[in-house]
Amino acid sequence: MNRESTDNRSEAWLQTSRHGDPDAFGKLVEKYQREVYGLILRLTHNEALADDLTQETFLSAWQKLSGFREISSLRSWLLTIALNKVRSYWRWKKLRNWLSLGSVQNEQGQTLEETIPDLSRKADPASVFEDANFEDHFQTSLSKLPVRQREVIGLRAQGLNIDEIACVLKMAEGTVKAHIFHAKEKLQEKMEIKA
Amino acid sequence: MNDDDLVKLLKVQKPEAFWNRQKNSILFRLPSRRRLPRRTWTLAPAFAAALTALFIWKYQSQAPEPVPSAELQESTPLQIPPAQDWSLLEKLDLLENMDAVLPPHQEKS
Repeated sequence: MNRESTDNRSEAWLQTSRHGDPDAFGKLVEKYQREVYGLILRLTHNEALADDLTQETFLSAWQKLSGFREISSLRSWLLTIALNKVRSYWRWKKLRNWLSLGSVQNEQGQTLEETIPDLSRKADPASVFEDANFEDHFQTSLSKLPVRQREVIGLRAQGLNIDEIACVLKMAEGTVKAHIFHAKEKLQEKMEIKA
Repeated sequence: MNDDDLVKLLKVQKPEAFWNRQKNSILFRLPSRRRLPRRTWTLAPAFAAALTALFIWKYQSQAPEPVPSAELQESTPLQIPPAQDWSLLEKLDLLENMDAVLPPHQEKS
């Protein structure tokens, strides 16, 4: 299946979804849910939260579909919504902590839940094949990156190119490149220290 | 570390059952776009505004007429008559021709 036919099918699903067809929207969900979930999981390091925010992302997309036009940027659009959901969550959590209703933060502004790795993944049969320690260490290293670098890396990992990332994050392409460079450098450094 | 390595590291591996469950959850939660249900709580601001307006209106209608204070009455110069008195005086000339104006049954009395 080539890219053009895939785009045509996505276009058809999008058109039908706009008219309120949940089955067509289900096809779009099927196509993009891995990328949306992947981005959110890498940003939040919490599987239950990532699942919840992924659902919220698609629900928002469903409600705003009529205002969306260009099929070519559907993925970018969905990832932008996902990113905004994560940012809203962070803001809400910061406010909750500020009001002393939430968990105690450490020096980096992370809550206790964030510093403890999400162990629910261990029960996942697919992760049996992975090196859980390596994955945990990698995710922890990723969580220690500055927010902007984490966002850039997360979007890059979902296959967005530099100009798409620049568009989503509303920053210059040179800045995106610099963030990727520094993020990779830091990740590499942390992973080598561990090795 | 090149970009491909990074993408591989960041790729999320999940069983197909996970994705199906997630998709079904999303579709289950979809509201109908043809006729979005109006949630009652969205009317709360309008209701609150209406209640406030009603309260203000009732308060104003029940409030007593402002009574001029004694100090204000004293300071008001008595020699200045109200405006309607001046207008009455201006019409005094018309009283001379009142007979011509009055209807016949009043003329007799």
